[in-house]
Formats: sequence, structure tokens, C-alpha cells
Amino acid sequence: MSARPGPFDPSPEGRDTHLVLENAEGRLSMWPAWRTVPSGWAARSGPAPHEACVRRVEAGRG
Amino acid sequence: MTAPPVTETVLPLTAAQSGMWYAQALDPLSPAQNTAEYLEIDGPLDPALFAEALRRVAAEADALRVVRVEDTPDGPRQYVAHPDAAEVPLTVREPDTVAEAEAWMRADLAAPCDLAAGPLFRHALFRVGEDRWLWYQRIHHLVIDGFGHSLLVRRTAEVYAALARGERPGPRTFGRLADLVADDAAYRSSQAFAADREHWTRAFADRPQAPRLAGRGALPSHTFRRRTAHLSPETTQGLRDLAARLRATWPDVLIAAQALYTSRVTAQPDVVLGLPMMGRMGSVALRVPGMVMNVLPLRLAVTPEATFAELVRQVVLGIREVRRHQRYRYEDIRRDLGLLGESRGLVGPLVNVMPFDYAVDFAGAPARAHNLSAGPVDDLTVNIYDRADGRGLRIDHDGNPALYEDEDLAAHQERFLHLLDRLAGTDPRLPLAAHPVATPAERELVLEEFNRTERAVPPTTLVGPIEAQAARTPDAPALVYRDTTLTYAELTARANRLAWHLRSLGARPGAVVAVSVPRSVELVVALLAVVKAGAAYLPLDPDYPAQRLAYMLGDAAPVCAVTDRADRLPDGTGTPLVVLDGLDLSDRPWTDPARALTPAHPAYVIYTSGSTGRPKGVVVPHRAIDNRLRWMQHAYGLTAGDRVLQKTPSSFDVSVWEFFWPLREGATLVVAEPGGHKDPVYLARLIREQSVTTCHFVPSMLQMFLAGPDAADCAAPLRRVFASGEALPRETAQAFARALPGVELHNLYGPTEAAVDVTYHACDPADPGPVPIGRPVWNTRLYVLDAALQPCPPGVPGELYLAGVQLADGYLGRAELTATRFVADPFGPAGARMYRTGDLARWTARGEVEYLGRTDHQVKLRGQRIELGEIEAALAAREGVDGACALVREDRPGEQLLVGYVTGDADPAAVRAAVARELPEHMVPAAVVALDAFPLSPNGKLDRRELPAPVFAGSGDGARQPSGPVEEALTRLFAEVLGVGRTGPDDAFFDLGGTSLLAVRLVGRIRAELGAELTIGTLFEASTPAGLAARLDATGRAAEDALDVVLPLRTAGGRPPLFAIHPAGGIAWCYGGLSARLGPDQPLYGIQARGLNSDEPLPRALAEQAAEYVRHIRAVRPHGPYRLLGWSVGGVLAQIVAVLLQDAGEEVDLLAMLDSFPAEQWRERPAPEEGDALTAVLRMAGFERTHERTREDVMATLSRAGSPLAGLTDRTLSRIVDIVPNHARMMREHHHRVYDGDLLFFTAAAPRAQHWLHHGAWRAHVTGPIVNHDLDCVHSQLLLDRQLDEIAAVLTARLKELGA
Repeated sequence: MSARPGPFDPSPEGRDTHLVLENAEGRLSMWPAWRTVPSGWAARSGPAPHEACVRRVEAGRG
Repeated sequence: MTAPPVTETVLPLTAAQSGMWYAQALDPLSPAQNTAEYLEIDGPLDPALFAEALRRVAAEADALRVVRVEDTPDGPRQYVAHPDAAEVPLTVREPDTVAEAEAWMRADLAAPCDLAAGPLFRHALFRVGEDRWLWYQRIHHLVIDGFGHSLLVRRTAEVYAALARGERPGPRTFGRLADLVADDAAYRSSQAFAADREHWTRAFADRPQAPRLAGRGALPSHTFRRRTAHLSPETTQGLRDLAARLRATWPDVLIAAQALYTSRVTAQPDVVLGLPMMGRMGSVALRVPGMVMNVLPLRLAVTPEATFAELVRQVVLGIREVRRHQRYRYEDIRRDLGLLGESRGLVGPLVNVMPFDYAVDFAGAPARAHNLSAGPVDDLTVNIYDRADGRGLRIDHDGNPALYEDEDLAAHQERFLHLLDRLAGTDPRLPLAAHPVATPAERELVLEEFNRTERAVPPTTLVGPIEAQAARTPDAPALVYRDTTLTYAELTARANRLAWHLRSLGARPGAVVAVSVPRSVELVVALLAVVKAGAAYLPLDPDYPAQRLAYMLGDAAPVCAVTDRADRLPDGTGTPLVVLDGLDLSDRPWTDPARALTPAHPAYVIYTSGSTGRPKGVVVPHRAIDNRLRWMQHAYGLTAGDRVLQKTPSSFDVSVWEFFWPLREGATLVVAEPGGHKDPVYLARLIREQSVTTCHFVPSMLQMFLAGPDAADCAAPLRRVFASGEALPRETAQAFARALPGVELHNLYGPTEAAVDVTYHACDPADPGPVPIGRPVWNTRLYVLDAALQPCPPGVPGELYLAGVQLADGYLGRAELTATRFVADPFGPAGARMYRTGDLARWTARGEVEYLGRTDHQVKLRGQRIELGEIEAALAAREGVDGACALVREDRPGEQLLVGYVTGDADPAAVRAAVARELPEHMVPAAVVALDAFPLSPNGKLDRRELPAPVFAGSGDGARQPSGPVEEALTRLFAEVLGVGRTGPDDAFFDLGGTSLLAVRLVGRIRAELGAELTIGTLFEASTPAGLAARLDATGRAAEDALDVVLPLRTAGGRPPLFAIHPAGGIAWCYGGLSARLGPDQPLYGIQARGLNSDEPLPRALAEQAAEYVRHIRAVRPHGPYRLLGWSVGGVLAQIVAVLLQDAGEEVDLLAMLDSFPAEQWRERPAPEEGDALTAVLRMAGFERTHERTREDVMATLSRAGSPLAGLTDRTLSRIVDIVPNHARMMREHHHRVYDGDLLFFTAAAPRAQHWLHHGAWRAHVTGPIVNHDLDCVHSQLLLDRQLDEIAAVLTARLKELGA
């Protein structure tokens, strides 16, 4: 049960690791910057550190 | 004339050779150290000339003249024959076929080599065609390695060619073995050696986990499995080009590819591969055919964002580093790190690249090498050969058969080849995440084939089908609770009236209404009313602490809250209350309310534990739960005749199908008492009495239920049981099949975030291994993804993601949490989402999923989901707590315990009390432990494994003494079940680490030992020995009753009862354990000596005593068949009772004796006196007598040991001390009559002083055969532990044969 960082976790160094995606329904998704963006989704912001992406989602800005 | 003595050179071994010597010494019969290959020679060959060439090469190469290796007081030594004595026996077989030749080689290779006797090598030549030869050479790994092999082959070809031309071969070029040994010794005493050690110790100080493709390690086997494949010339060329572009070599590229593959399959970002090194760089060894090679660890970081180019660069730099320290032995690195032993390896797969040029020819006849064995295979070795003929690379996957089946090797190999293909054709500057490790076929299988669940469903809601059903069957029973039954029409009317009322308070589609009502008719009415009003219901468990309820009310902002009583919810939340008690709704319409409800509206909001310390509300829409219930109906087909048990708390989402599925299908809902879900005995009774056909258990509760005495009685009404909430152990499924044959057991899985369950599996008791969680339900897709979000092939573990119609909307008011858990789905329709479960899982080849654990710190405790982070946050928020952590321990198998740890100066008991006011019961740690500091691992992280187990101590010596025999016995049982030293009569069960599992065990022990009927509920209400004793005295039997002649140990059950007659002490309590093991259907009565609780005179003869027992037995069971058993003198009495019953014309079909011997075996022996009686009393309690001289001493010992006998009054104990010698006297005076029947006998077979005792003595007194079972124990241990289990098993089988 090791808690190593997964694709949706913050990286320890606070690098620009994530995107915020949005689909046609306006739903938001965190997304690792290294993985192809799935179809039907578009990057609304990022790459940015995980924490910054979380704050954007909280603020409803994506 | 005699030949001059030929001298042998004696040399020590190099470190490399020593490694091989020790490996062989560890397993002398293993042929794994044999290395072998054959050369396929296309052309004419002269065997005689070839033999001469070989002999000459052997004269040149010391390694081929090592005749034996012996252990000496100074360590192992190798004996090298003089060059003039070089002997190379060559087996020549011609003509032969390739198949025959290969069979011969395999047989030769399978024979272990005796190093002390030699020879260490073997050569053979096979003529397999007109001009085609195979040259086989097998050499022990102690004397040669792969590079050494190549030196020998080339020199042999050179010498043969010279001889064939009639020339003298060129001068020898080999270095000497002695040089190698000296060089090795020099290295091991050098500065370089110390520096190398320092390097390796530093590089692996943190002892990274070895990445094992099989998920575990094993000892090396005697053989290995091999699968060979060839990489196409195109891909080979592609890899060479890629390597050139990256300024690397093709082996670097292959090693990088293997690191990528290994990282993904083992889910480890830190990968250590093993690199076999020829170890000859710049050393004398370059010219010595010998054993020099080494395996060295190459550590690589493989992350999804890195590019392949970066990974190859890491390999290049890493190998450069390894080379600088390559003389240091792998065995030494492991020893330095303390990683010796089978499970403590350092490296995962070995990548063995062999770029040796084997393009040799024998006087013009070209030869190709075929490796047969490259030495032992610990785990997996990937051998890669560059073939000089331009046919691309050959790749052998060699696996340890203890870890890999042929199909496993095939899968790893095929994926590796596909990956190489992909890498060769892809831009190396792309992130590694772009590369799946699954083959295209596997990808299709796991993404599409296993997920074909599309099913058109009508756009309905949770509630629509319920209303339609109510209209169809208004008079059918919808709900049963205690004595109340509501029809569909009655339930509908009540729910509708409340729904109209709720609408007037703002309940509508999209709004939330809280419901806080204990399980009852009103609870079902309230939930139904909320969904009928179109709102989503928010269940608030009335047992939750006020602070948590207040938080949820504030967070979810319901338009109102329905409760049964005004004081149910905390004050000051501002939520309008609807108090059902006294609420008059008679003016509200009884008709269904109209509402603009769509499948997209929320149906319910259920809170789950949140890792950041705040619980989170999961919003589940109607379409999700409607799909779930439609699938469930399709899969299990509930009918009007079904009765579904509602026992799950409404705050747990399993309750959603319990409540609503039966109402949609016209079945009946049977509602359990509040709290009843914790009591297996109550549940069994309810299931039986209410003819429940369908119910749910969390596996740990199911286990308790099955262990209870009444589970088997539920087989008649039950049709199906659903298990979910935590992993279902195979043992539980098997116990289920035994206890409830014919009842279906279904394992379901799903998080609250995906409408209760998303997978299903029907358990088959015949299946082995872990119980899968199964296949996806309708309109649901499951993905098992690796760290790069690429699908894992079957068998490879990854994180489980869920997609499809059942996904929740997200977390109420928590956009950021929703966006990190419900994420974009790369494999589904455009714009789809998938839910990240945090569960580790893998696909089986059949398309089912197996649950493997968690990826994070979420835990499940008895089916309840718990985020340890939430508990840690609650602990840390207390005054005086500096740091906190929590974990679930399992110090005793099967007993999970939630424990909190704190640093700082807070009192841990106060901290626990404080969090108990905030957290729901299942999240309150059983113990909070104060630490000075948290244990840290070498890299400074919290080392959870080092956290100490909590010590639960009863008040022990300082406590007041128990005030009676029952209290005394209960304090002892508490201590035993809880595994604590001592408990006092006022210690509470749950404060001492008691769990509900242990509670069941305790109640079982109390039943068995005190004969008291008791429910789990009683224990929850009265949780101290004193409290329980008071309950037992009031409701159960008084202790004195347990001394009557008839001791009913189990009165229920349909079989003829078994009567068990007391041993010498006169008390039959010893049969309590037997009762528990014979099962719920077998009544058992103990028969005890009279006078234990009265002043009646003791019997004068066994016949008189037996006649009295016959009267008592016939009072319980007037007529036969009778079944009798007795231990010690009890067996003798049983025989007499049997004879008397037969005299009366009754049938006796079982007479069983536990180590009882007839009167004449005792007659000549002196009768015991009081001292022996005291011995007998102590033995009854399981003690051997040591210092005890008087009755008082014996009492003191029993009391100290907490024996239940210590609860006896002095008077009773005195009687026992009289009863024992009385029995001894009567035994000697009795004369047996013949019993007409068989005898089932159990002998305490450990050696004893009375060696003359033998069951054969009964032959004179029974007419039938005597079946004896020897048990490995002494007489006094017969009813303990394993012996008892075995006796019970034999008896159960025998009783079963006899039938009802």
C-alpha cells in the first residue's frame, strides 16, 4: 500500500504537470500534461502545477 | 615401465567461482549450474581431427583441465591437470537426427554435476546429415562463462582449421587460470575494492523493492522454461538506427525498453534490472577462458512524462557508472545490503545481451551457435543474441518455472517484441506515456471485448417503476416490520401524503431533503416520500455524532430534514425539521405527486469519508441508480414471492437496492430492528421467521453469520445472498457453500461514486484462488490502467477506473475533488468521464476483475470505507497533539483494528474520547497510542510498519475481585478472547480492543462454557463482565443449575440428542466445546454426578448410578434410538447405561468412549486416595498437579488461573474431591455385562504409566466391532484443541451416517 504519486497527484517538485480539461457539458477534469488529451475534451488551462490547477477548478475558472 | 606421476596444480577459487561453488553446494542435486550450447556446423567434419583439436585446446585452456573442486579446511580448491594429461572424451554419434541429438543433450544437461568427483564438462559430436554436424559442449558454470565459451569455440575452430590444412596451429593465446586467481585476490585487497563497495552500498542504501514480473520471488529451480523469438530484420535495423540517432548502442535501447516494460508491469517507477557483465574490461581476464562474469544492478527511474530518448540516456550513463564498479561481485552487494535470501533480491529481470561474434567456421564449414543453458535462472532472464547471419536479433525469455508458466513467458515476450516494434517506429522524444505495454490484441480485449455491456434501457427514474408496481399490485405486502405489514397501497398512500407535505416545504427535482430516522416503517416511508417529491434524499445516520450531522446539514443545505423525533438532529443548523412524531398528514392527497423529474436529476446524496478530514457528499443521479436496479432485476429476477431483508444502515449505499429493488418488482421488504444488523443470531432468526429470500452481507459480517450456530437454518428460505463492501475471502465463500448449500452467493463490487455496484460474480465453491469481483454491469466499462493511463493486459495489476452510465455527478460543492476523481476518459465516447477508484485490480483471462488492494491510504473496516486522512485530521485537531497518524492493524489474523498514534503531551485516552464525539463509531480508533516520535524510514518518511501494536491491559491486579462464579468466568473469557493478560469485572469489552468479530467469539464462548443464551446485542448493552453477569443472573440460568444431573448444552436441533456422561469428577462442562463443534442441529446433554449441588448421598455402585442416569435420559428422550458418549469413567457408565437401555427393549445406536477402560483393567490396582482426587480435580481444569497438597492449595491454583471451576463453591469442590475416589472404588467393584452393538473408541495415545490399558479389553463386553482412533495426547488433553476437533469430526461423520 505505497502512496506514490499517481497521474492525478501533485508531483513533489511543484512542476507544471497538469492541465484542466473541459468537455461540452462544462465538466472539468484534471489531466496529466504528458498524456494525450482525450477526444471530446479540450485544455482550458495549463500546463501548471497541480495546486494551481486545483485552485482554478475551485474558483470555477478551469 | 610406469608413466611419470602427472602433477596437478591446486588453486583457490576466484570470488566469482566461489559464488558458483556455494550455489552448487546449497543444492548439490541441481543441474542449474550447467551451461551448455551446441554449434551447428554446415559442412564436412573429420571427427578424429576434431577430437585432436579439442585435446589441444584443452591443453591450452586451464579451465578445461579443472578436474574437480574440493572443499578443504582453507576453503574450496580447484585441481588443474597438467597440460600433458589433457583428456577430452568426445562422444561421437553418427548418423543421428536433430531431434534425437537434442533429446540426448537435454538429458545430459539435466544431470547434476558432482564438483568433487568431476568431470566438469562434456563434449559430443552428432552427425545429423551428410555434411551437417552438431557439436555439443556442456561445462559447469564454475569454470566457464559465456565469453569464455566464445574463446574456446574460436580457438577450437582455429586449431581444427590448421590441422585440416596439415599445418601447425598458431601459438596459444590464452592467459592462465592462475593469473586470474591472483588478479582476483589482488583486487579484493585493493583500494578499488573498498571504493566499489562504498559505491554500491550508497547507491542502494534505500534497498529498493526488486521489480518482479510475477509479483513475487522464488528460489531458483533446477531447470528453466525458455521461449525463443526472433526480431525481424526490419525492426532490428530500426532499433540500430534509433540507437545511432540517440548516440547509444542497440543493447542500450533494448535495456531501456525492458526497463519501460518492467516498470509498467510491476507498477514501479524505480526499476532495478540485472545486467550480466563479462567483467573483463582492461583486465588479464580478457584472454582467459574462465568464470569471470558478474551480474550488476542497473537502477533506472521510469516516469510517464520522460521520453524514450531520456530513458536511453539514463541507460547509457548508468551502464557507464556500473562499468566503473563492475568487478565488485553481485553476491557481495547483496550481502552488504542484507538482501540475501529468496525474497530479498535486488534486481528484477536480467537483460543478457550477447554481442559475441559467433561467425566461426571449421575449415570452411560455417557454424552457428545455439545456447541451451546460460546458467541458473532466479526470476526471468531475457537473453538477446546478435546473429551474425543478418537475420535480426534472437530473443530468449528464460523463466524460473516456479514463477512462470509457458503462457506467462509467451505473453511477456510477445508484449516486449511489440513494444520494441513500436519504439523502433516512434519519435523517441514523445513521453513514454504514449506507449502501451499491452499488445494491440490485448488492448482490444480489455478495452472492448470485456466491456461489451451496452444495453438500451428506458429513460426512467428510481421512483417511476415503484409507482407503476404499486398501481399493479396494490394489495400485495410491500413491507414488514415487527408486527406491522403494509400493502403497496398503504405504503404508497403514506409516502404520497408525506411527499405532498415535503413539496410544500420546497422539495422538488434538484433539491435535497435530509432523512434522519432509525430503521422502521417510518424510515421507508420517508425515503420513498422524498424521491416521490422529486428531491434527492440525504440519509443521516441517527447514531452519528452531532458535530458530523451538523457538518453534513451545513454542507448539503437540504430544504428540510425529516426526523422521527424533534431532538434527533443538532440544534442551530437552520434546517427546517419535519418531525414525524405527531405529524398529521390526513389532509394531504394520497395520490402520486406530479413532478418534473428527469433521469439526470439527483436521486440521493450519500456522504463518504474524505481524505482531507471532511466527509464528501456523492451525488447520484436517477439514471445511474435506475440502470443499476434494472441490471440487478435482469441478473437475479426478483419475483412477487421474494422477501428482501433491509438491514444495511441508510447511510451506506448498499441500502439503496435493499429499499427500492423489492418495491420496483412487487416483492416484500423485511425491515430489521435498528442495531439488528450487528447481531448474527438475531439476523438468522429474522431470516428464518420472516422467510427472507434475499439479503446482503459485508464479507466480515457474513463470516460471523456463518460461524454462528443458526446460520444453517437459513438455508431453507434463502435463495441468494449478496456480498460486497470488502474483499470476499475464498474461505468465506467455501464456508457459505457448506453452511448454506443451494443458496447462491454473489460477489458485487462498486464505490458509492458509481451507484452501488458496477461488477458482479457468482461464486462457485469449486473455484480456486481469490474470488473475483467479476464483470461490468450494464452500460458500464472497467479499465485497469497503469501509471501512464494505458490499459494493463490481463494478469497485470493496475488501478481500476470505472466509466459508463452509473457514474455519480460528483461531490456536492467540491468541484476540485470532482475534477481529480472523475476525469476525462481516453477510451470511451468523446467527452466521457471515468471514475478513479484508487483500487488495485487486474483482469483475469476470462474477463473478470480481481481486487488486489488500495493504491492509497483508504481502508475498509468491516465494509465501511475509511480515509485514514480524515481520522488523522481529527486526531491532530486536538489540543496537545503535535502529530497524528492512523492505520488498520492486523496483529492477529482476521482481526482488524483501527489504531491512532499521536505525538505531543495530550492524554491519548482523552484524545480518543474527544474524536469519538466527532467521528462515526466505525471511524473511532480502538486505541490511541502516544509516542515520543514517529518511526522514520531511512529516507525520512513515516515508517508505518514500525508503529507499535497497542497494548490493551485490563485493570488487572488493581481491580476488584470478581464477586461470584459467573463474574469470575466472564472476566477470564474476556481476557482470553481479547488476548489481554487479565481483566477486571468492570472493564468494558470495547475499551480493551474488542471488535464485533471478537464479540461474536466471546458470545460463542459464553454460550459454550456457561450454557447461557446471549445475543451480541446484550454485549453492546452490558459490555463489562459485571454487567453481563447481572444480565445472566436475571435472565439466564443460575450457576447452580449448571450442577444438576442433566446439563442441557444444546437443546435445539432436529437430530436425536447425544448424551455425554461426566468423567471422574462428576462435572460434564467439559463437553461444551464438543457441543459447539457438532453444529447447531445436534442436541447435546451432559449427564453429571448427583450431589454436586445437594447433600444427597453418593451412589454405592455404578449399576445404581447408571440406572439413575437412564431415568434422567428417558425423561429427556422417552424412546430410542439413544446415542451415548463418555470420557474416562463416563465411558464405563455409558456402556452400563447402554446395557440397561437394551434391557428395556430400547435401541442404542451409538456408544462412544473417550479413553475409558473396563472394570477388570483397574481391579487389581490400588484405589486412589484424596491426593489422587486433587490430581483429578486439577486435571479437570487442564493442570498437572505440582505443589498442591491440600484442597485449599488446589482452590488457590484454580483461582489464580481463572478456571471456571474456581467459580464453584467450596462445598461443591469438596464434593468433587469425594466423588473422584468414590468412582474409583465403584469401578473396581463393577462386573460388566455385554452390550449388543459396536463401540467407537478414542485412545489418548501418548505414552502413559498405566501401559496395560487397551481398548481391546472391551471385546469381552461388546458384541460388535471396535473402531479405535488414536489421538496424540495424554488422557487429560482429550477435549482440548486439535484432539477435540478430531473427535468432533469423527463423531459428526458417524452421527451423519446414523441419520436423523
